[in-house]
Amino acid sequence: MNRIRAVSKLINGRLGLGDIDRFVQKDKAYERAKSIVPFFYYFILFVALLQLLQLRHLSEPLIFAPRWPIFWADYVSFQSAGTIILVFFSFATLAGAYFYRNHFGRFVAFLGLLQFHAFQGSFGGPNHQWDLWLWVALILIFLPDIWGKTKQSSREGKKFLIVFWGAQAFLLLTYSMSGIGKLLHAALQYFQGEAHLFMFNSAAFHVYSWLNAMQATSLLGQLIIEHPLLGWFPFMFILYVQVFAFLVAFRPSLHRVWALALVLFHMGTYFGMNAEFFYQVPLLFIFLFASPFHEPGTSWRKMISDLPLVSCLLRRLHSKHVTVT
Amino acid sequence: MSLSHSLPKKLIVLFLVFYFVVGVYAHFYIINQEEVYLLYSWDLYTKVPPRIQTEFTILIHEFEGKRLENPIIFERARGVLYSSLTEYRHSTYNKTNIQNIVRLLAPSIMHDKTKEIERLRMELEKTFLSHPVVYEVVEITFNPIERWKNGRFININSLGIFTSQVF
Repeated sequence: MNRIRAVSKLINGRLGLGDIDRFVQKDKAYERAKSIVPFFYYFILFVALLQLLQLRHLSEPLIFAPRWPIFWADYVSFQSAGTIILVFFSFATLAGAYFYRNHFGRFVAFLGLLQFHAFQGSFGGPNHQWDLWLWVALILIFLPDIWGKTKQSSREGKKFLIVFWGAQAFLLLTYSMSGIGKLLHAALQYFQGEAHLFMFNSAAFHVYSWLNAMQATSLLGQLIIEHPLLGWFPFMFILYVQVFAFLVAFRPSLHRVWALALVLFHMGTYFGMNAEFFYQVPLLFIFLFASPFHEPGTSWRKMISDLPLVSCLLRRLHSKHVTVT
Repeated sequence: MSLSHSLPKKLIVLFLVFYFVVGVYAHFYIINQEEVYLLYSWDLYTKVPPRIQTEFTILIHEFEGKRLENPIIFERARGVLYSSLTEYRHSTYNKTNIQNIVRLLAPSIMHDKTKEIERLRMELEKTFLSHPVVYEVVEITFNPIERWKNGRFININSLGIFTSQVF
């Protein structure tokens, strides 16, 4: 166990990961987190109700291969399966919205979301629009049921915040996985003599290929293809935001600005490539922009000093300055 | 974050490590088979498309008995093919479907799969080429930015010329 701790400390130090114990102990953070969680369930209820509109035009698709959570759909007609799933989704999320304060309510909401997610992914290909909602719903099941208590122990409050932080960290991890994938492929493609991420027209290639594959147009597509640099600079910015997203989980001062940057990323991919992942946006606002760990009034200086790479540079400069003096 | 006795913290860390590791594994698994459901590598837009690309498409040579001075690539032929569309014909025009059919038709021609060629030609001609049309299935090689800006191709390789049979 001591070796595990030593290794983790070494990894934390090298990666510049912070100490979450420091920011999960604050009472105000706990009160804020408690008030934020219900909005996750309110929003997913809203989504479920909108999905009921599909009932108007449920028709047999070309491909329907039920994923394992809806294995039972193989034994009923498509219309029946679709109706059951969408109606169950709406009632399950209603239960979650009303009973979010206890494990059972949150579990039922998760079940409804799981059925809906499986349904969406059963038409011949995956649908990742709802992946993050599903995993976050699973994580939130493990929140302690302490809303009803007038006074909770610091241990329970800390546990609550750790689970909440887990949802934040998971969201940011997925963005980092995307960013790291881009970096790895950039290296591979560079050494294979192919077009790669750091070429000035890489964004233009992406935009063209996507629009051509989808036979679509976009608001900024033509502009980016004709002037590749206009797409390249935002692309590099997004790469930085994505690669270091997971580190931001440990730096509460950056939660809000990273949420904003990621929302801009989603807007940018829509304006540039007509590719939308807008259902991630409410998650970014609920868990990051409204982060209970972000102290109101955090100074710009603090935020800049916490920026990934910038913080390393500042540490080095500081240590050199100290050595010299 | 230092690991301590806290069970929730350990479980969260384990979950994050698990998701990352399996997600990365899923990226390589997907190359041979379909994705692992619920686990994803999030490798979206990771690989930059090549500078030189190839694609299958169709060139329109004749329309309603009139030979076109220059063959028109399908994506620019809408005004020619559908200048007098009825609402019904308009609604059957689906660029994505056309692209998907041509992507299947071209390899069938290259491998001389007669039945498949007939089937796909019927699909292609039924849904949108409803006038007598002479069209050519081609494989084009292009730089995407050059193609977008001035419609130029590096190479056009003809796979076959056909006259539509459905009116």
